Amino acid sequence: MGMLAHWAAYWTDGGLRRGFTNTVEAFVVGSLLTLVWGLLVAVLRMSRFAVVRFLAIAYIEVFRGTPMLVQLLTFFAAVPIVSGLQLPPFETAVLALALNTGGYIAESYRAGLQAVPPGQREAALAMGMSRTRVFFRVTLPLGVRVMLPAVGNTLAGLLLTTSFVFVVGLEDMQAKATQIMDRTGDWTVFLFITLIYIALGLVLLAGNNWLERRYRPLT
Amino acid sequence: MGYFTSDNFKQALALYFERLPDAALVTFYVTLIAVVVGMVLGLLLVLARMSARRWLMRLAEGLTAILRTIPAPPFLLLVYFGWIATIGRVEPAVIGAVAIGILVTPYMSEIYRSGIQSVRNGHVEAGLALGMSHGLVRRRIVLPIALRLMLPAIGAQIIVTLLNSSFVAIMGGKDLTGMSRNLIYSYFTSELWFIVAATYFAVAYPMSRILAWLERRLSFQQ
Repeated sequence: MGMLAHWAAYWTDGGLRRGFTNTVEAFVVGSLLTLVWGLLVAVLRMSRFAVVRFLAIAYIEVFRGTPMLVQLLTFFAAVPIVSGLQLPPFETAVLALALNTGGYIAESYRAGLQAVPPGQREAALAMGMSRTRVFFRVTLPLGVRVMLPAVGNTLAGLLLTTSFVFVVGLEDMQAKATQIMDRTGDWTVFLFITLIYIALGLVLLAGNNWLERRYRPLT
Repeated sequence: MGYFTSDNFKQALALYFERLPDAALVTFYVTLIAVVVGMVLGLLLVLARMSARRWLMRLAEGLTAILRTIPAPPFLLLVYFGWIATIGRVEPAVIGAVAIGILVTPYMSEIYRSGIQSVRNGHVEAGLALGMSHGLVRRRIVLPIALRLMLPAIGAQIIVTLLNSSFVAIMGGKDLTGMSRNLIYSYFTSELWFIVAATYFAVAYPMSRILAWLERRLSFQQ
């Protein structure tokens, strides 16, 4: 039982609670940014203009073809000195998360939108709705149900990506656990935060399953 | 501006290419170990999942779900420091590779499962009707078809693992990412990160293109 008492102390006095809040905040804000950014990328990816499509594909491939750890380090260290724009750790972290996962989400969006039968869109166009209106009133609502499982999975994966934000200097669970390890030499603190991550992940998984059952694809 | 042209950067870049072969070799070995560990443990996991014993199936299912929620940073350090505390000294890159392999396991098992389940029942029935035993049908019919079906997914997982092998840098591994970080810290040349990213991309992107080509070539109607 000594281990549990230590863990409780790490949580309240060791700063793990603060780290937990930072991790959850980065995940939530990162998710929202990813969802919005991914939609923009998906729209660009399906653009009528070949140049725009090419740029969107190039972006997706670059972020898919490089390690996320290197992306975070590049974002943290290299982008500020080249661009002269230094953002605080939290902003750097959520932007890097959105840039990393936005490409994956965009592909899920695209698969969902393209699964909408063309007849639905054509019917709406024939009724005189504008293209934008058709997108928001017909294609998007129908496609959302198709893409839900894939998007849910990607967001569950984003929690795993969020566990790396300590490399941009955000005081997340990993950063706090490392500080505790350096101070006390107690390696079980990593077991503790691994268990916290498992609990968070299982909650997300249950939420996903519920949403999938609740919003099955129409047609 | 001076970035990418400073003497510091040029020195660091020269050293980067000098150390690249050794570091790339570490990255290669970490990837290899992780893939092998993931493929072997994944096979055990999928066999357990398809077992007739209900408790074993449930256990494997739960384990698959849990393993998919574990992030690499705390898990790698848990395995590394846990090993040192209870067993003894160990090379960080090696234990890191094994830990990454454990995290690859649920994905591999999922790939096997969907491959095996995609084999049409008609093939199995045809084999049985010809008088082949269940074991023979599994070896001669289900396995070859399933392997071919799951090849693209395994290839994609190998590319992901190659990129994820950079995780060993967290625990001080001297792979491509770890070597570069040390170099960048001692020469204060963050621009080098772009070169590091480009190096990974130069390997991963062609691999994914070749894979897509193979997938088209190998795709077949069952």
